[in-house]
Amino acid sequence: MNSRRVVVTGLGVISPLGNSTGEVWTNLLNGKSGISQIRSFDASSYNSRIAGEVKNFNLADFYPPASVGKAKKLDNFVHYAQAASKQAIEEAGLEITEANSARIGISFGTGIGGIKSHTDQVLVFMKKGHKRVTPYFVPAVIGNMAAGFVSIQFKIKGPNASLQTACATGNHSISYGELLIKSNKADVMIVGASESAVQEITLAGFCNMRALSTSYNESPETASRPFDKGRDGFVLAEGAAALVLEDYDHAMKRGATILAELVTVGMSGDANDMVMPCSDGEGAYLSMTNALTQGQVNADEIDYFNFHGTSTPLGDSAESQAVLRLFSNGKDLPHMGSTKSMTGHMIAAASAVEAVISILSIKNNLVPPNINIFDLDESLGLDLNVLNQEPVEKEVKYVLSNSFGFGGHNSSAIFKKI
Amino acid sequence: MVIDEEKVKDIIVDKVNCEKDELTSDASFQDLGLDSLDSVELIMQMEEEFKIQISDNEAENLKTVGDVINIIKEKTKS
Repeated sequence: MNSRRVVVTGLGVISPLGNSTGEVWTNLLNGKSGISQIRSFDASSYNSRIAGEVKNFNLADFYPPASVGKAKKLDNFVHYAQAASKQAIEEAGLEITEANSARIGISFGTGIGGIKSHTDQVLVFMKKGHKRVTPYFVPAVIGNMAAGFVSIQFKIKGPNASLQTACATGNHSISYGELLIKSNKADVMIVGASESAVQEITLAGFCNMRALSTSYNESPETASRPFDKGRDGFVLAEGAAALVLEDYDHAMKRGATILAELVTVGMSGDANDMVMPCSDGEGAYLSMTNALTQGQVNADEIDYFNFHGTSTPLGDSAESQAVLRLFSNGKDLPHMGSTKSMTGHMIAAASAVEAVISILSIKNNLVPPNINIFDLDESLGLDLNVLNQEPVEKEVKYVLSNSFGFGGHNSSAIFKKI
Repeated sequence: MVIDEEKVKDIIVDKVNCEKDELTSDASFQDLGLDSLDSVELIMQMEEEFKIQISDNEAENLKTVGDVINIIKEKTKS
């Protein structure tokens, strides 16, 4: 079963740092933050009033004209998925035909789903009664509709599913695509995740569980500060990313440009707490060692660790300990950091976007920076030589990208230069 | 009560890709590209706009713009 190799041939992204891979990559290299005060609703009474919102997004840019009306019934997480998938399919030069469509599949998840439609319709229900709830309520709120609606737009008829593991959804969706290709159930998989949960009800929920940054509302671009002593929670963000995963032989045969190889995704479960990581990073360590062992890669071959690094006091500490444990043999640490310092935390979409960033790092031989370390938290055991504040030019052969979700879902994807 | 046919047409035009003057009485939902969920939603909007009740059985027989206008006329007669 493992004789098939999985490569990446297309990428797409919608994020607070831009709505194309080129724009996002340039902004990352310039150390730009996508975080600002919340614009889409009045957040002035919340403890956390900042977010990474998607800007300048037009539905009509990403749907055929005939689909726009139908699309408007659905939530933004579907539209971000469509937009990212369209970019990725176009970059891959993938032609979807009657002959090949059953061998092309979709694995696309979300964490929170159509929360805006959900909230809006609960209000209709409360005010006007059940008879006024739109018949589009169910299609608009179910999280698998991104995978479903994208398949309708592109006539993709292979395996179609949606995994849900909160902030690790992107990596798990990638993993499912990997497994389906390796087991010969598909030749190509459009994989990724999306989120559109910068909404009042979710902001309230995350605020009240004390998960969000609250000290930097007046300087939003500095709020997401992984590894800094003053970090005080994550910054809510939204977006999506898609990757075209493809059987290596299939990609070669059609002359596709291969951007990187997906070595594998390691996974584990914390079995510890609903929302807190194991304080010693045990779950993260198990996920990374699974990825390394199953992918037959040594830790010291990894050129860049893209951390989950959400800028929470406990999370960054646990993950740092887990990575340091991989290097307890005294080998030099490679570059590492969290691009959430710039994007904020796009929940389900985070690891999909970070997979895109990992592949761009390999393709361009550049390690993106980790911004906003004003006062390094030295107790984490990492120094500023490895937590680069500026982009670093070097040969990037292997990248490991971590993502951990509420519920204790851990995932570590390894990408390789090819 | 005289119903405002223009109002009915405005609500329909909002849902479909056509101009208001193309909306003849015999234009069917199907021709206008409305699927089953769109049709249900349309009927719900008419109920709300004209303060009427249209049962599921009645709704099943509504196929054209004219059918909708007629049932609204009938229901608002008194």
